[in-house]
Amino acid sequence: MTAAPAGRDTVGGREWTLDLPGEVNALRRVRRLAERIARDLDLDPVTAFHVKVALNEAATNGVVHGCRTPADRVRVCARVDAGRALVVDVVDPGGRFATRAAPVDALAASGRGTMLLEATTDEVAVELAPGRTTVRFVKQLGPDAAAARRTASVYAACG
Amino acid sequence: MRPPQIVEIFGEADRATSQRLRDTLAAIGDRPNARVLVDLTSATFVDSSTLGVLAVSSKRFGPARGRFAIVCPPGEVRLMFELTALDSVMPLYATRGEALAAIEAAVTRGAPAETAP
Repeated sequence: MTAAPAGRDTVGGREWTLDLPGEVNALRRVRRLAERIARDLDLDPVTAFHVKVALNEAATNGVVHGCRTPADRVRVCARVDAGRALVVDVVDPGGRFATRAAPVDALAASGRGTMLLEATTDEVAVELAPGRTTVRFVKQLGPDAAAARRTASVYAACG
Repeated sequence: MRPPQIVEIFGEADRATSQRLRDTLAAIGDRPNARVLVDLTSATFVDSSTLGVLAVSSKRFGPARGRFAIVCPPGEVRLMFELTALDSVMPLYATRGEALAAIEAAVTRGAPAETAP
């Protein structure tokens, strides 16, 4: 069992991974991961806060809706891509698509989780596959965030 | 009249703790004429499920009758209320003193408590 989030430098950028059990008591580990990423990247306090909120909400959904057995786990993979954006994948075993009816979540945030995820990130995408749900969010980093977006669209236009 | 029940949250409040918070507030709400103050001054993080519990409690107690108030000074926890637009519909106060004063004032006047800016 992973005791602490792992971080490493790879060619082209930084990467962090965290594998946690599908239980709500483990969610604090993703917040420690967010803090680790913020320290490693020297993020400003607002960006660091946004990353923590987004990671916590995505991981909470993965645990609550994606995991059904004690063996189910949620995997978090974060990396910085060349365009200076933090790309985070939160993967769960897709338990929300169990054939039996899911229990009613009395503590459902009534959409606030999704609201928070969208308010704190630049992009959110969900990929649904049998036995796997991936939530990917992107957070542009640093004061050149706007410039990075413009650069990305110039590259895209050039093909 | 007895003082309001104070529920203080320390550290991080997430999906692991929101059910207990919900049960605590529900138990208080079951008592007649109950008043509650939720103090988030020592909270370092709240998630969407915690906000949901507070929103439901806010409606159940009815802030207009001065029965429910939340202490939340400026900071990241306060930002969570702002990001979800809850700061405009929930009785948030920067200090416990202001929250208590608002509750007492509402009870004394018998008028709806005003939400602090």
